[in-house]
Amino acid sequence: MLRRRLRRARDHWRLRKQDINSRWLSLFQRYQGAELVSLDIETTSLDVAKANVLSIGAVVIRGNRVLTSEKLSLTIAPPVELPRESVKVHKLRRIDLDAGIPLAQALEQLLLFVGNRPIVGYNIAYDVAVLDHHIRPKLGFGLPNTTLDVMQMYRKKATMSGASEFQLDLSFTAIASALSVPILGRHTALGDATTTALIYVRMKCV
Amino acid sequence: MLTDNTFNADVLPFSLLDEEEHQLLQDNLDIGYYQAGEAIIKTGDVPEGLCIILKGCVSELDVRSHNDRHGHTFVHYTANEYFGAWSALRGRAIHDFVADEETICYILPTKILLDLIYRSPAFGEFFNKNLSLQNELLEHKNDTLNMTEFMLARIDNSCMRATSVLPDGTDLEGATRYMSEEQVDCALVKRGKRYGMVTRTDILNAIVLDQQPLTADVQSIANFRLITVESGDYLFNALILMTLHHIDRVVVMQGSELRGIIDLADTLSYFSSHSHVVGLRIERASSIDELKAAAGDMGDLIRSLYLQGVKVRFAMDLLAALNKRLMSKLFNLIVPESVLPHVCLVVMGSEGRGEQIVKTDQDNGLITRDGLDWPEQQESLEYFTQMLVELGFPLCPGNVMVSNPFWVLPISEWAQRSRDWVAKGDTDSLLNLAIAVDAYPVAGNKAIYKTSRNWLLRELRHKQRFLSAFAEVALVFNTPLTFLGGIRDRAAGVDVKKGGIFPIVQGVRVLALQYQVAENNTYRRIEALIKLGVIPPRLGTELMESFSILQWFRLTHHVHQQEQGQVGASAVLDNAVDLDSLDRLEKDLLRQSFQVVKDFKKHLSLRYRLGGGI
Repeated sequence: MLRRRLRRARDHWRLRKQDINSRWLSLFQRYQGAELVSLDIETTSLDVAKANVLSIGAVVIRGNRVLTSEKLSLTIAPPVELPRESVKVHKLRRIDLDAGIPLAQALEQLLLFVGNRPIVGYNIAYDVAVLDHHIRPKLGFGLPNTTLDVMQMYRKKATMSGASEFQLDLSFTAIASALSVPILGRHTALGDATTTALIYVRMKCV
Repeated sequence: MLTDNTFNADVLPFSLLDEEEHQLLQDNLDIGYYQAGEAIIKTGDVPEGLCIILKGCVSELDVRSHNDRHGHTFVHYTANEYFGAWSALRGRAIHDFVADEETICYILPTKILLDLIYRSPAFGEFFNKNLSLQNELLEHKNDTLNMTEFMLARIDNSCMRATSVLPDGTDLEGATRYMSEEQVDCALVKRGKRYGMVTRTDILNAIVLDQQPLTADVQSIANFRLITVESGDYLFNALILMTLHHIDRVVVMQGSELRGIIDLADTLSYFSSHSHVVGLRIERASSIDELKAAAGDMGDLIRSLYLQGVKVRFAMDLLAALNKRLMSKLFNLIVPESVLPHVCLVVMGSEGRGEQIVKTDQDNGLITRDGLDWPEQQESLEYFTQMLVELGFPLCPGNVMVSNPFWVLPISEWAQRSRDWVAKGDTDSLLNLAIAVDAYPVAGNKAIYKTSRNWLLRELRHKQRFLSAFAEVALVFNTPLTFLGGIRDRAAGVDVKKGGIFPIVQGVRVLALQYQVAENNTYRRIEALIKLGVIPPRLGTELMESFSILQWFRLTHHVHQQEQGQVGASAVLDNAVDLDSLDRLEKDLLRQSFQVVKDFKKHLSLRYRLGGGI
């Protein structure tokens, strides 16, 4: 956490030094509004260093609303090799990805969509790490946004109300069903982002 | 293809959208999360749009005052159902919508809803606030049924005219005489094994244009190149043949045997209803047995009218006319001719209003001239009642029948008793008056009936206290809005008669009495009341539409009950419509009809200052 914050400060300083008019500088401004962005990505691997991004989904949360009308859903042009194992998980075959856009373009769209709003996700550290891994070489900084992890929120809530941490099932589906949130389009980035957003709203409201 | 669409658009009305509209819908939906007890839309607010429940349960409440937060619940909505459409379209919420349990729903912004309504006529129609459009949509659903019926009707005795062949050697005069006596406009002749046809036009042309003598053999002018169809063929084919050859008749054969003639006019009227045929049969009946045969056809007629999707109001008019003819005919067959000018048979209740489709009971009475001498009176009237049962009119459970001397009175006593009822004003009296007020003459001397009705109208119009009491009867039964769309009370079924039809009929009846509307039919009463400015036009139209819808549900229910066979022709039919058997559109219509009934009850209780709960 601290390391991320330090790195963010350094990114900010460098970016300003390089180009005072950079369009990415606004990302580093403190966010004043009440909105959040729920984010999910589908990748080819669970190893951050090897993972290729296949699709990105994001929706805006405002109060008790999940604004699916303000959404981002991107399919990325396929990397050279598509590991057999990952195809089994998210059912994204090569032909499904052929319509995709180049990764660089997708990442720019994502940054512009999210802006400086806080990011919500399930096990969001992983998603941010993968995205950083691709953004940093291109733009020279990582995602500067503050993040909220619904898994951590859920664990805190559950342990506070007396659940034993060892018995807690923290899988995505388990959390959703424990909170009786319907799972919308599992294993599509947008579907998972929407479900995550609902989980967040659900926990925030009670 | 990657799909982003999480919204289930297979249900009405969203299934009416095309792909592009569908995408517009998907792109603009938001999802809202609400805790139990949270108000999603509040009365008077400007709603954000239409809500479709993804998970959870929402009630629609009428919050009457601030000290009574738990208002009257109209409806429960559950997953996949939508709510707030009317509020969104009106721009202001008409009720509170409160989450019963944790609820997640999609929100379609009003602007997009309007866009979709504008773009898709079918979708727009579904949402149009005006009930009449929705009603049509429902009736439209039966179009397919109608068409099938049309395509599948076969040629049999019910649609063809029996015809006889003129004897050999008949001359033109004889043929004309025959046609005139039989009231037909064509006749057949036979030469060897071949049949020929002569029409009135043929004869006219022969005499006037060709100067043939009246004694000329009719065979000489007959047309032997006949267009024929086989008995049992589709009636539709006969129609096609007539269209193809520009002719008005085809001859029906079975092998080489002649069966009859099908007339173009008959074919067309067959498809509009079998009413024509039934009506003819009643008219031609010269004995009670023949009447019975004609009455037997009426069950089929009702079914066919229903299947053909004929508007309820027209079906009612038609059947009322047939029923009245039937009763009148029977009455004339039983009552001696010398007595007829001194009595008047009236039908009352729903039959009197002309609103009975399926024969549910017989409500009738007899008004006689003062001092009538008719020794066999009781005997004849009992026989009449008995015969009506055989014609398919079940006995009246309330014993409102001519066999009961209570309903057979001279004019002066009718008047006196009505006066007593008004004065007394207890439940029985009000009930009897309600029945008597709808009396309609069917046989005998109608002037006798008119005297008594005019007296009644004059007598009642200024009796404010009586009118209030009479109006209150309309509020006796609760409008069953709570049960609708309900997840909990579905087993109960909904009584459309008590909950909707009765309040409309009774309320309209009171208003008609007060304003001296000399109509019996509820539709016509409403129309007259709108003209007089007694009911606001909008409430009036909605009332008529709702009345049709409720009657339609009742009819559907009755037809199904009869189809299931456990009910004989004379058994009592119930009015409890099972909600589970209805689809979304139907439930919606029913709910809105009850809403109109509720509005009308409010209108009544304001007008007559009634305190009773609604």
